[in-house]
Amino acid sequence: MQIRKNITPEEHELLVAGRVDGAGANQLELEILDAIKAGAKAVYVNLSEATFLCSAGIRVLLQYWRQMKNAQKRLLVTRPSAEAEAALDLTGFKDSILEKA
Amino acid sequence: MEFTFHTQTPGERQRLHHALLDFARAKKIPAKFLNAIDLALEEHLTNIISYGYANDRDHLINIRFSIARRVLKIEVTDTGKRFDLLAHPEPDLTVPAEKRAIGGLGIHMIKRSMDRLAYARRGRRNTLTMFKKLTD
Repeated sequence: MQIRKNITPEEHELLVAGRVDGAGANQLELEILDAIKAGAKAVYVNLSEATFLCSAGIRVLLQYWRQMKNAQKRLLVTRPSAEAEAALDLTGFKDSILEKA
Repeated sequence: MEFTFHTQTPGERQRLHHALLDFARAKKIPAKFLNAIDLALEEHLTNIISYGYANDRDHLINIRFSIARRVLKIEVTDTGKRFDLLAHPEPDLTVPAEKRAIGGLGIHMIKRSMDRLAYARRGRRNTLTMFKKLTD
């Protein structure tokens, strides 16, 4: 799995490519934590190139979605691939965590 | 096809993933079913490795794939603690995302990804058999 970043002072976009499996989820968590530490007011996790999303990845997204929301900030998933969208849909988190078009 | 998964060998998940893709290609499994199969297998292995064993020694997990009448059957046999995921309660998806428990998602994803599951404990072995219809 690879993560590319687009960073502005207030917004961080993480472009995730490949399989978000258990190891990928750990890597994603570290990148999200880096963004939060850097003071991002918004973190966008672009899953358009994610070929797989497991429950560990969803747990990471959900954990920091909640944390950011509680801090009046936001973390959202953008442009999910069919595989990532199916996983979010299965767990019932799609409507909460997906950026509205 | 049979696959022996070593819990302490690096790269085993990737090796299994490639084996699954090779099997799918050889058996002409439509791509639209692959993600669900991949997901169920990954989640089940994660549960076995994370919760099944009392030590960090290398353990073997046997995975057998077969197809009959356009139904894929995956039998996963491990020597971990007894664990019947069919007895595990379903998460309440009506609870708002802000308040929902984060645990138990993997089991839910297995149940929703496959068409039928069967669990058996024989001696010291767990076998989870997962079935997926390969037709619409």
